[in-house]
Amino acid sequence: MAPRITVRPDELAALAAELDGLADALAADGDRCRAAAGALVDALGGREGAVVGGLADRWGTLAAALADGTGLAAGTLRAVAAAYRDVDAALAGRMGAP
Amino acid sequence: MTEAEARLRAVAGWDVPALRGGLAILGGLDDSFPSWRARLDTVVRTVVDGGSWSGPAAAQARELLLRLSTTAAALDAGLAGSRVEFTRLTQEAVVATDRAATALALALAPGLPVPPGPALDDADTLGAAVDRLVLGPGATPAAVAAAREALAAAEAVGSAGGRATDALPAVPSPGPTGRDAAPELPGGGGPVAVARWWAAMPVAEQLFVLSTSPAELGALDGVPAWARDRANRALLRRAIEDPRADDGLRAVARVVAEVLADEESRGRTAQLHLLDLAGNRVAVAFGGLDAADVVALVVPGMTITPADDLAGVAGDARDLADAARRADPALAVATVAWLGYRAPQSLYSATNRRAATTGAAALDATLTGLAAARTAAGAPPARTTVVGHSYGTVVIDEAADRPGRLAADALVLLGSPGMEDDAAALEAAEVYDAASPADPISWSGWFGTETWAGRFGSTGLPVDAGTGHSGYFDPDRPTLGAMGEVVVGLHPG
Repeated sequence: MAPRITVRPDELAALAAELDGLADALAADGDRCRAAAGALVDALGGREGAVVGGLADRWGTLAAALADGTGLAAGTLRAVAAAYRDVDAALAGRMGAP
Repeated sequence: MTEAEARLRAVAGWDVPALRGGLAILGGLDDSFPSWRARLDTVVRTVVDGGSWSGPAAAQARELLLRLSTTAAALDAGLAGSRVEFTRLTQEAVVATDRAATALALALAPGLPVPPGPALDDADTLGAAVDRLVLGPGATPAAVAAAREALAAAEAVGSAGGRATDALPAVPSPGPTGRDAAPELPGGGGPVAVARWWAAMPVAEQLFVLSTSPAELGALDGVPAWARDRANRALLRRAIEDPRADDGLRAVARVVAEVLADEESRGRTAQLHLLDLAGNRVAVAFGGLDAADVVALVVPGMTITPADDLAGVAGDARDLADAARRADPALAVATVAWLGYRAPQSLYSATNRRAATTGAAALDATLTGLAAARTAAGAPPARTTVVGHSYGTVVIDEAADRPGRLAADALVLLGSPGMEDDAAALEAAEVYDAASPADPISWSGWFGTETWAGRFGSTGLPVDAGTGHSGYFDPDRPTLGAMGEVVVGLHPG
């Protein structure tokens, strides 16, 4: 039996928007962590400064990676919503106006 | 300048306020991340449920999102562990800086007596280096001690920094959606521990546990309301559809299903918070408990059973929610018809505290669990009101006697047969009562002080002569509207 396919483009678009917002917020947090790294290096200097600066940079990198993944998921959902709409419009056009 | 002295000078010059400021930015991310995760997981669950999108492509997208949830859960745990270590790092840095400054001041102060010459055990140790430093002119034994403390703390700073980094997960890459082994249910620890256990899991694991252990999760205080609802609805379907199920229990299940369907037919959210058919206990929420700004539990009195009275108590809870929404339309409201204890079924059993004592443990855990589930997800607890009617007020009385504070902001006592102590002993910031002059139970004093008595110390809500013992929730009488104001925090208390 063929799999059942259902789609609600508006709901998918809303979910994509939520993921976009999450991605933006986390990316901003990650940027702040990475921006703090320099000040932390200077605060301690030497080996300890390098460790704590590297720590902040790692936090920022991890947040950015997850933000990227979240943004990718948002893009996927948004593209799916648009694609289903396009396909439906194309089919409707092929069948002519009612 | 010796190497050790240079090291001490460097440590004494550490900028601890700048260190704190920089790490506070990391702490800010850790603080906000649980609520970020909760929002992400809500999206993931929505897609996984398939209501918005299903089919082969949707299945692949689900995998992508489940991996994202798993990655977020790992990062959440990693950030928390890393923060523990960098908090220690800060504490050690404070010690190191202070002791290094002290050591230098002592070692370099002019006019101090020449120090005794401590033996050097090993010329290569750090301690030996310090001793070499302080053996110079002006050094003292106190300087030796301070210098050693400073250098040990400085070493601890480096170690804590390493551990803070090691606690973090690897940079995310595509991987499995969950652990190989099924997550184990918490063996105890109470609602707060349960809430932390649940919040630590990614969506894939949460859904797995929900599918394998609905009976346990549906009654587990500390698990969020959406998950309990899902577990309990699975149990409800099983009770209704299983031909081997007990006819009496199936009849109760049908009553519950009708109450849920009735609310949902109005386009509103209902959640099955508890379904213990064998124990004759049910709780149904009207509104979403996980996101509500204000929550109210209605605790009914004697002779109440789910089979006969759930629809009635549900009506009271719904009316209370409507009254609260009228009082403040801007707030998200959820109320609960809480038949979560076995109410006494005879006058004899209603004149002792046995049922109330048992019910109090359940009520206490329910309230703690509601607050803990939200806190673990990074959301503040809702303003919570408990409305007890008749023997239900005795359940509240006993719940307040249990260890720890009752997780309620306001209590409303309707037609109470008396309370053991005064309002202050109930542990809630606000205590209200309603006692109709025509309500014989509120005059009985069976369980202690009448709530309407001045010495009890509660704030009276309006009643009218026709309220009697069972009219407190009547929409055309004054008490219901006042209770709505209490629920949203607008009634003068």
